[in-house]
Amino acid sequence: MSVTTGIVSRIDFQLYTHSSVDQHLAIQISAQINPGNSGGPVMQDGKVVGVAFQGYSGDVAQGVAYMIPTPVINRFLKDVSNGHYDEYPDMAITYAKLQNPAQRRFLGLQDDDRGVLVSSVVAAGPSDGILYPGDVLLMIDGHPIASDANVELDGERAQFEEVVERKFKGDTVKFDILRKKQPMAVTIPLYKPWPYSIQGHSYDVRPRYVLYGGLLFQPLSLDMLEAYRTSDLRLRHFFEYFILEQIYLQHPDVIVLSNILPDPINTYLAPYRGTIVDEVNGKKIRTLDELAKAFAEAPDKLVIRMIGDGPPLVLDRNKVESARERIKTRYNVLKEQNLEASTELAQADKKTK
Amino acid sequence: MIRQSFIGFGILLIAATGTLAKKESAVPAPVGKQKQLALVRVNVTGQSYDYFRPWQKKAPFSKRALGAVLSKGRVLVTADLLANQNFVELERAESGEKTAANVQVIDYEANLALLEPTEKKFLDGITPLEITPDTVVGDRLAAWQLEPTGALLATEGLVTTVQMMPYPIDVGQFLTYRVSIPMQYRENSYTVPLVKNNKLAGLLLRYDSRSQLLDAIPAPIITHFLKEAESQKYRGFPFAGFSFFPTRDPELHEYAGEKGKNGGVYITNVEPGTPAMRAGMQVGDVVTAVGDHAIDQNGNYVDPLYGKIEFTNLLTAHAYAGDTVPFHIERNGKPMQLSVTLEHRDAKDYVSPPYYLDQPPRYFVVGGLIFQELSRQYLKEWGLNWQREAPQRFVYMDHFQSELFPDRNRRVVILSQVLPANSTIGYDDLAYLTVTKVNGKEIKSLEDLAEAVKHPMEGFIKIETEEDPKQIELDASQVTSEAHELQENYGISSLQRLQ
Repeated sequence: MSVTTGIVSRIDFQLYTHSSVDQHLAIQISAQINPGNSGGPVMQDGKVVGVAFQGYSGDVAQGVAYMIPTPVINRFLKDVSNGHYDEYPDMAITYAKLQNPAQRRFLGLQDDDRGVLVSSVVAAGPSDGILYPGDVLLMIDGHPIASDANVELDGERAQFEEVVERKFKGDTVKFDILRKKQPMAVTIPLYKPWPYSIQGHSYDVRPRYVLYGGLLFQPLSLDMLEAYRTSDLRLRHFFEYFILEQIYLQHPDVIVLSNILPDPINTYLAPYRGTIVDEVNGKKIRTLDELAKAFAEAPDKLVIRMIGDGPPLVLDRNKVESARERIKTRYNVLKEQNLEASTELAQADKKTK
Repeated sequence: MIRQSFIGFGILLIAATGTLAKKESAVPAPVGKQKQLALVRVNVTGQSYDYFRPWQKKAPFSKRALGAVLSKGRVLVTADLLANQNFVELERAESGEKTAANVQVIDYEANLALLEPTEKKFLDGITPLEITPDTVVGDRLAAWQLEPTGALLATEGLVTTVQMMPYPIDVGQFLTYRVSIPMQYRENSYTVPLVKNNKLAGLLLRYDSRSQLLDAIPAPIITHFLKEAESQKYRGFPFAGFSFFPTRDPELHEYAGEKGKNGGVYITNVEPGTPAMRAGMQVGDVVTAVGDHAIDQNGNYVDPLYGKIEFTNLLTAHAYAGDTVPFHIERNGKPMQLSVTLEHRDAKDYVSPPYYLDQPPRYFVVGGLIFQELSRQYLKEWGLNWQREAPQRFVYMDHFQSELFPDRNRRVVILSQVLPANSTIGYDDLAYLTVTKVNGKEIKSLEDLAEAVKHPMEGFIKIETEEDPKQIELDASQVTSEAHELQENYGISSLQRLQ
């Protein structure tokens, strides 16, 4: 066993790099931790106060380590106590600090350093139809929100999201707000909005895909982008703005022709690699399941339109069928598609619609 | 690394001597005749505009180059050299005699410009260069440079490829010679003429010293430019407004209604308001011939000089703005003919102009918020790697502008940065936002913005953006009362430039 010590340098919200999309409370400590130490308990007076989990590489910063603190650990233990992990609920809004005097006056606020401005509300999230852009959040569950977005919790200042962080799926959060200068109170029933999941790493989930005529179709996700190391401007934009531009409403799955297993039937299709499926035979394709269905029910000719100015991709069903076994054998394809976990998305998507 | 380049050099030498014996040398006669050289030095000083502080210019630069002396007292150089110039001077290589020069015509897209000396007799005694348009693959060209002494430095190279390529400004593609040549660096290597049998065959476009490959603006493009330059009003190279894709894929070929025979390109996009759209071209048409030239499935026609080359050459090198070109197309397998009247598309007719040179950038400052219009010139301020370094949202908008703004008739107004001031407390971190509305009015240009700012809402200027925070408010009277202080603090000569 090896042991190292350090002092607590700061407590605030940090990006959890394991998923690279979650932000939770973390404690920065000056203990030296190294790769391989993750999961090691951090002890104080003989009791566990956290779990060591991330740090910087030596050329960025030294002696900066992070541990998962007890509120996060306790929350996790409580969540899984019923045998099922529901993950973190999220309000799915973005907000701006309200520190400009003119802007405060415009919104009808006092000069009291309180309130943050709702910038956008994600349509697939729990705040949709309850909060609106332009609302000012004044209090969360009775805690006044300062203009720098902090609240006081148990004598400590923390970002107001921490109040939601400590809650569970099915809980509610109450806001006192100012809408068009009128005070109101709103209650949001909390759950985890699904569109964020493509922007983080997935674990223990087999990648979803459909292979047809040697063409591999995969939904856009962080793992997929990293695997292909693409610098494609359109793919990067669709990934980056999936939520902010509400791309998920049209394309809950952004289906990318990610790879081509070469075969005589797809010799000329290389230029289509990296493009995004828009429609098949005139029908909009929203999810990978819909694409699999379109392929299964294909008429003699399949005309696949991609997003953008490019040409349509045309396939002859009979040729695809006759190449099927050849491609499966040559590339050792065990399964031509994996649609697992699609049902969850389909349900979430139905809710959005 | 070093070893590798030695090997490369060795091979090249062998190749060069091998062909030298057979072919006539492109290097002109003995050095004694250098007085006859149709070359002048061109000294340029200039100042680029600073898009990060759009009210001022950057530090002055100076460039030294060569110009090719043509008939009628004209000197041909690359347009690149003259971008944002303040002063151009010509210098006789052998005597050092100097005179100021004026820019007669400049075309940044074809990267060509004509200079004329202010002193008419300056070029007396120089026999102008004729232009030879018949260079083909396998020809040897000499690159003409000058030693500091004024003596000629000639290097010979082999034309390996003639093809369509983008030029530095990246508006369309142009005919280009690729020459394998071991050029040496001289301080005036900026514009280098390429010569065949003492006639001008091309001008250096770019040179990669590692691969020793040189791309040249070829004589046919130069001739086109000169012919156009002699007209009353220089219009630039023609443009049609469609995109195409090869029909190599038999499935696509058949889908487009083509049966049996090969050939033609598939039209993937026709931009609204362009010559192609006016001529009735549609997505899905297959262009089988332009004029008398049949187009193959890869988009090539057979040129009498070069053999197979992309058919867009017929629209740039061979045609002029205003020309009507017959397009033979097949629509659902039925042959038709379209008459496309080509025109030039000015940089200002793009939503995000591809270049903006020799004129100061437009901007508008309101209480410390700096508004500008999106352009590639602005994005290029991030340096050579601007496509990776510049704000990616703007790079995306610039790249897909024809898709995102098909109606074209607008600019994208951006909040580029915030100067800390009393009125911008709390806004300091904002940058690179796309403006949608100001005081409730839609914003499609800086003029729109300037007008909308004049009509505050109950004493506030409300700015709405596509990105977070979505809304920004300023106190209109504070903006006015603190304008002078802002100018003083940041040394801004004028809070707006819209001209």
